[in-house]
Amino acid sequence: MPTRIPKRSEKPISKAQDIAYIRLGRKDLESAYRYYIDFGLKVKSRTEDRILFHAISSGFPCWSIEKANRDFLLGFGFFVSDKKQFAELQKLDGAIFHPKGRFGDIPSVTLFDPSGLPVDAVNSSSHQISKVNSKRIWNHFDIIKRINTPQPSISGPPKVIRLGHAVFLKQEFFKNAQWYCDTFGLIPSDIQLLPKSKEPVLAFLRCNREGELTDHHTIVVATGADDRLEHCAFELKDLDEIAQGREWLLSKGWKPAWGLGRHLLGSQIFDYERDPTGMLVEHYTDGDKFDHSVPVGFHEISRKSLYQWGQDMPEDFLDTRLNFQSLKELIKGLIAKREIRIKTLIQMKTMASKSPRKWIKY
Amino acid sequence: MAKNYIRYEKNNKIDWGFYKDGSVTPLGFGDLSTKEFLEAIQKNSKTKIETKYTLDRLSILSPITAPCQIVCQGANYRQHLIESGLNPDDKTYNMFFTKSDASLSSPLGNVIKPKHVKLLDYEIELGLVFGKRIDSNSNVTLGNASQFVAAFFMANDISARDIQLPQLQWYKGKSYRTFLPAGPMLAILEPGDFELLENLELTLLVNDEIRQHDTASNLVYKPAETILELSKFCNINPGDILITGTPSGCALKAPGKLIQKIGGLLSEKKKWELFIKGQSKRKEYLQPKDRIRSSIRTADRRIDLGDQILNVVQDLT
Repeated sequence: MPTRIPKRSEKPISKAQDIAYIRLGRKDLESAYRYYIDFGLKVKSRTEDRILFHAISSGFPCWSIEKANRDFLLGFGFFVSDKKQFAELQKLDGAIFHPKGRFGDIPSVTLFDPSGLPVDAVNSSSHQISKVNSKRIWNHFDIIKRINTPQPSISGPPKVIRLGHAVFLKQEFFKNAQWYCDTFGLIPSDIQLLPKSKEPVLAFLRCNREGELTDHHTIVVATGADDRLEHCAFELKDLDEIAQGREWLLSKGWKPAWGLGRHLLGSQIFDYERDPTGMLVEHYTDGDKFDHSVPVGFHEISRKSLYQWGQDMPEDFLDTRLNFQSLKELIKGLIAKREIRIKTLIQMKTMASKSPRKWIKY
Repeated sequence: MAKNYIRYEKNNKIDWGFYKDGSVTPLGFGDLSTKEFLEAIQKNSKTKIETKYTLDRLSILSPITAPCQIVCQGANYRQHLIESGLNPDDKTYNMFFTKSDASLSSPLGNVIKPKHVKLLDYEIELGLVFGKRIDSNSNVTLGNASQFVAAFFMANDISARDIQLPQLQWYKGKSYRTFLPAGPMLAILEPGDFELLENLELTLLVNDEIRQHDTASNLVYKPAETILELSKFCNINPGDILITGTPSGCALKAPGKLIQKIGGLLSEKKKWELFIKGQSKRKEYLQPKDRIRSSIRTADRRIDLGDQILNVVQDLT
């Protein structure tokens, strides 16, 4: 069994500052439009074949829904603010330079990760927001701020502050994870291993902003039967926003997935929902922030490793079933002698089918 | 939450420092032994010095100092027992041995491979530091055993298998200089921390390949049980240590039952010759230029014993 781990690169070509955007192909733009408005994103522009959404931290699009003949991941982007690093990325084999970028205002360069996914480096700094006001005021046992005033009842989409991270499944876990470390300077925060073989199958990767703080993970690369986007997560202000968002989406008839709960690795309070195609999207708050000094952690992968408290994980949450498309991709991968092994997938499936809580039976 | 301390040298002076969020605040205690440090920190844990250092600006020393007694447990993880052909549920005895304190060395430095040693092996282990004396007057019970433990630390129980096993010399085979890298952190326990031991995850990599990974919940003889047993035959002083055994995944691979039976028919000399020949084929044994990285921490990092980085070098003298 391969037990090599992705590790921080001594001399990465660039140091990404944050994730910039995700591009998704969708058969049905109308339902995506309605869903993501309810989810809390704002429309930047809409044409017949593309809707660009942004979050409140910036007017730059973080979510691009593009007309396609099937529902799939088209690509994504990182912010690379350093001019020199941006120039170095342009020199890489197969790099495509877009002077005006994807969305017509900032230069970008498109690279392809080892599984062929287009990854853009956007030559801009990431957008930080200093303050978002809380819609509610909390009374604590020792500090009372709301006197003679009930808590207001608020409904509507939550305020999405920013796109936080994306989780990619890959047939070739190691090759891809190491490529992101070497190309964009990402560093592993936590790596998960299969219990028996100790094979690494999932890496939480964060940006290296030196002494400056960054999210515990900006992308996650995990072993999968096919190459796809597993979920994306958006940061909200606080717990109230998370719960209000869930309430709003449910009231609009959209499908929930899993929540509320608190993760173990990364610590976020989370709520997972499903977009009209069934893809997972997450609202989160209170995530861990690390600088470059924090060393990597190693953990066995299990459903227990996913949360410290919360509603029990629904049985269909970790989708390890194979549909026609993913089976086709898996067979293609096996024939091409990619890193993926059936043995690994079986161990992953066994892990995913084990209840994390001994006292609860699904 | 356990507090982390390191022992270091800077400008030819040894001191202890408090470690938090990636930086070290010097305590100005000077060159104290582990025992003296444990006493000093109990009296005065306030730091007056404002300077802070990052770890890479200091030369990090073992937080465990000689002289001290080093008690070790063997075959104490479930999977390691299974791998060695034993049934972990059939616990027959808690296996103890010792190492020389001359083997203690820095957690960020070299492991020296003696000239005559071929089968150099690694063993990541959770270490406990005693804070209270145990003798015939101490009434150790399962309930109070944890009160005798002051701190946790990480150890690597390096072994020369070709001395330890064929010569039946565990003490010698496990005690060459640099055979016990310890630290970097001395995690001084606070109430409630001892119970978190079960959540500690031990990981050891050689050249970026995972060799050992397990959680301390798979310990067969738990620390309380072990300390109780130790108290029956051993006097312990503050600053003495217990290292609790290693998970599966060492380079050493016990020969199968059949081979062992055949071996029993051969002369001792022939048997061990064949053993060394067989083991020498295993590429897992440490070689000069290999790099060992290890860590012990809980997933939520409430207890984090830091990272050891060791380079294997050949002894040329």
